[in-house]
Amino acid sequence: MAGSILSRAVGATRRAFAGTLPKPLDCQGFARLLPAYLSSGLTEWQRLAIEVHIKQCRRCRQDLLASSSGKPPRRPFPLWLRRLEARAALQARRGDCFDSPIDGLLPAFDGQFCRVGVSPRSTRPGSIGYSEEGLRNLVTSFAEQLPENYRIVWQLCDIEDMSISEAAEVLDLTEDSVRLRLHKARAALTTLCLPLLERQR
Amino acid sequence: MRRTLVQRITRWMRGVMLNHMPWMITCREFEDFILAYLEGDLPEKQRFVFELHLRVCRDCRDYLAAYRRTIEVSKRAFEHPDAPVPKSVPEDLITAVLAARRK
Repeated sequence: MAGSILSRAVGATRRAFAGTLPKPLDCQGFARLLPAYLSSGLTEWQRLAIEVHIKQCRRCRQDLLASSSGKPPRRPFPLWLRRLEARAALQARRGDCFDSPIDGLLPAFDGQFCRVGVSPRSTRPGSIGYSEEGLRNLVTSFAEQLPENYRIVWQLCDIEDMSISEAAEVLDLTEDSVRLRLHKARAALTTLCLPLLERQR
Repeated sequence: MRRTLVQRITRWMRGVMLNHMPWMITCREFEDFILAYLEGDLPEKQRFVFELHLRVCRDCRDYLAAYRRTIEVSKRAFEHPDAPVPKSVPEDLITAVLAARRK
């Protein structure tokens, strides 16, 4: 409860200051402002934005050190190399996330990122031979197996028919977080429901 | 045994094709776009790439159908407005939902 109040307060503060704070600087903007920064010709906000960016970006920090020591700056990364670097970082990040409790229920992929383990029989249309109450008990028991933060998002969006933005507002999350959690919850439920869907033949 | 070998070769060839041909995405990348596709949020070009993968990959076609069916089943299970709320919903969440509906 205390955590919820704190996170709401942080969210409200962030929203209140969103209009007044300068936009975060990207690497191109940093390269553009670097000469002015070295000659101390920047406003206070610009200097602050550069200092925030330097803390986050190792490459720009190295550039700044090289520029202040008189060395030539690095050559810009080609676009395809930047994409490769981003993809490697994303894969490493995904590799770090395997300890989440929902990951065991998510779809599996082989070494070439092809899907494995979907039964073709499980998707035929037709009725599932359960009464509404039986179906509800089954779905509830499946949903109980999801971690709470995923289950709540699923309940709001799929059961309560809330839109993603409404759910994000209620839970004080970003819409992207709600989308991610909703998709993971649905994917995990799909894995759990596959035996149930096979009955509909 | 022979069938398994054929399946493995087919799967390997499909993997090579999805990984290296232009306009192709892997099943893992496909997974990332499912929600946006179902919500109708994908731009035209991405939707074309998504549907191209859907035509090529039978596993993803089956998976998407199962995914849609799961959403339908879970909605149908709770479609009755008097259905009891699951016990696991926190009390403050119910309060927040009711407050949001009053707006």
